[in-house]
Amino acid sequence: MNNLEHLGDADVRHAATPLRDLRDPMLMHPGLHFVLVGTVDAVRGAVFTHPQVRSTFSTVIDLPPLSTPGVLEVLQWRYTHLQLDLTHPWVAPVTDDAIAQLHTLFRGDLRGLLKALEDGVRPTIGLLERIRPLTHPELAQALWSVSQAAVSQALSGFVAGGYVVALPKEPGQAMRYALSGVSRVVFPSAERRGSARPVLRGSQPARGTTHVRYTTSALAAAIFVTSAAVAGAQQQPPTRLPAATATETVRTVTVQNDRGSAVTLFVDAGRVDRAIGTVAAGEIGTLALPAWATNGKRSVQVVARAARPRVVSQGRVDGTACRGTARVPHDERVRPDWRLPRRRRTFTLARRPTGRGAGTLASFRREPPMPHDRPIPVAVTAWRRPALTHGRSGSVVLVALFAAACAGSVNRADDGARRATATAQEVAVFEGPIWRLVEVRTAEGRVAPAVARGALRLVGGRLTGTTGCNNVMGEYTRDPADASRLRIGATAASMMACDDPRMAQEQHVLGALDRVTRAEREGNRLRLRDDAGVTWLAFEEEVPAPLVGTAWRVTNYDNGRRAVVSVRVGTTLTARFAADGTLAGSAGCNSYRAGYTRTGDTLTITPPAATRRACQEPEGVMEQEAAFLAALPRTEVLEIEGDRMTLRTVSGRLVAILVATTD
Amino acid sequence: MTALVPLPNAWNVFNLQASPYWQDPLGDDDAVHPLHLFVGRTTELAALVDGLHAAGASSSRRAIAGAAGVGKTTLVERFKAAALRAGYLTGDAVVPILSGDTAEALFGRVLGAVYDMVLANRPGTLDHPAMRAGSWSM
Repeated sequence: MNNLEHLGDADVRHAATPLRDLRDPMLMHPGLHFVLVGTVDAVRGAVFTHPQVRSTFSTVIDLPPLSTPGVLEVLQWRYTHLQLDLTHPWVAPVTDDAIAQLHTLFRGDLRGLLKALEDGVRPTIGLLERIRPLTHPELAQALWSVSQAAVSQALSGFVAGGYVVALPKEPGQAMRYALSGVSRVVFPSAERRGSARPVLRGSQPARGTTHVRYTTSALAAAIFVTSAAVAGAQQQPPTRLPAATATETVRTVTVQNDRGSAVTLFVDAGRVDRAIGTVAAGEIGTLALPAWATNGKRSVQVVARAARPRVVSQGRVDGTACRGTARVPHDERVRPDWRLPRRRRTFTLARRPTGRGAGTLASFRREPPMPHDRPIPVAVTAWRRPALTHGRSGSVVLVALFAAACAGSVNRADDGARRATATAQEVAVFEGPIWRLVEVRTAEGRVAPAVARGALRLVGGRLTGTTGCNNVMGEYTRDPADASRLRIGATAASMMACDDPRMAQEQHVLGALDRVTRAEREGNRLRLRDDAGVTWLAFEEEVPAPLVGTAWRVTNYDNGRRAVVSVRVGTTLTARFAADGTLAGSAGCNSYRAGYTRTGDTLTITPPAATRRACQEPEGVMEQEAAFLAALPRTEVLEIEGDRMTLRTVSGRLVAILVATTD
Repeated sequence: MTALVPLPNAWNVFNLQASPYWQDPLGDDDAVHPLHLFVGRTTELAALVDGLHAAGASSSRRAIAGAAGVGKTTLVERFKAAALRAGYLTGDAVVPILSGDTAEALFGRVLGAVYDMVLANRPGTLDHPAMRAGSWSM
């Protein structure tokens, strides 16, 4: 996958959602290996926005720019590769020194550097008195020779907008300009089509600030803007501009804490969030953002967490009056189930591992640097999760192509959806829970009891579920005037074949869904009816399987090499938690036994002891056993949804996934 | 009538056949920009290859982040060549994630890429009985 390069921050967050939704059917599909490529912001946004996605990715490889010697080596290879007459040496068209200087100017942007070299060398070929490499001044002259008048005219708009500042004029010198700190200039002809002139990205310019940090390279860049703007009318796409990164070091965020208790502010730093300070109840505090958190980034995410008792507050949209401040809302907005696991040290824009209720959250977009004495302007945008993931939806073709086994489990709808709708205060009674099918009325009017597990979930306009054979997804709309009315739109189902009773049930369920116009809930029961009052589908709220007493079968585990893998075919790994605090089961070959402690959602498991048998078959069973037994004690948090239990570390990393079995 | 004479290749004065400053990523089947010109990145490449071997027949997900033009795509091309030699199928297509993408749209694109990948690497696939019309279910 590529190019997240041209996505804005909001786009990146949006792009993260399909990745999350496709995690199970696509990203985790056996035999598929994905490499996600993009700019640092884009990749971090796509991978780290959703913990479900984050936990499946190994460490993000941050690709540093090639060193200058590395670039020179690249070019040496290219010259040799293109050598025309093998009996004579090639002549480098540009001096090493010029390349080194350009490399610095382009901050490692190899593509931009190469474009500049090509643009700079081509027009000078044949003009030199003898064949020799071009020096840096000659190259710069060829690339960026524009008249002062052209520079002034082309830059006037940018100066007026505050994106570029004119430096004080010095006698006998040309007028000099510097970027005001806007992070990047994008050329429409090269990167975005449709608009006629270069677009300077970045929002509010910092008026009147001069940035002496931008010296030669910024000057060259600014003049280069001009040259590109002047040349913009021609067909030739301009050379890419070096990315200008703000070098300001002092940045602060001001937090107004409206709550009755203190909050601690954290800044997102990848896998670990770092506390940057605490603001007492009712106070306004100004906290410094550390340089490592802001350098080279266009935005940082700051989350607020109650210092005690560990309750998360939700950032509020405050789009109009948010300059420089973030408001942490009143306690009344805090729900009792938004408590974080006790030992959790890290927290990001995330649901908590158990699922219900979660996090914050405000996203602070950094604007161009401001003078030292004023706080950083932050634009606070509410961070509300989109409606609903649809888990295994659409595994139609994959299933057909790869002949995967029938593995229909109900979609794990996202907890965020529950929260998002819960805060909307207008949740219909049928929205939220996973409903397990009890009965369905057939087209002939017969009431058929469920023969296989069918389930349905309705949240935020999206319908997901399983018919007993295939997964189904679709949309529904509610009647604003009547909370029990709903209209189910087109539904789509995967296309696996199952045994006859299941296929029959599926046919009945899909047929019945078409007729439904009302949803009526009585306690833990849900009936879907038509206008005449005929019940077509009857459900019961699905109760999560209890930890103790359930026979759990392991489906996936962390293999200790940063990957969560499926249990090998032909092996069965089990776990049974007893009320006396012991855990026992089979690790594939040997039996094991361990102690466990559960407190709420936290679960700790002692290192297991196992019997010492050696098995030969199936292949890899012993490696799997060792990896599974090593993974178990890493468990810190458990989450049970329906018949599925997920064990994780506090940072959200998966340890194992288990399903309840009937035996 | 003036005879049309091709312009002399300006790069020949440097004893070069063409511009050495092309900006396209390197590719394995590309005679002009062959992958053996790849330089450096040994640590990153080793990490990618090791990750692939560790994952084996299951799945894996890696992310490469870097500034624009820094060489991400070329590194991926190099990695794909290594994977191909190790017996994996690799896709030619880069699947873009677009703003406003729905899960369905992205999924469709990935499926298309996987489909093309299998067809390109296993030419006989379309003749397989399972691929014949009407036999999608198992």
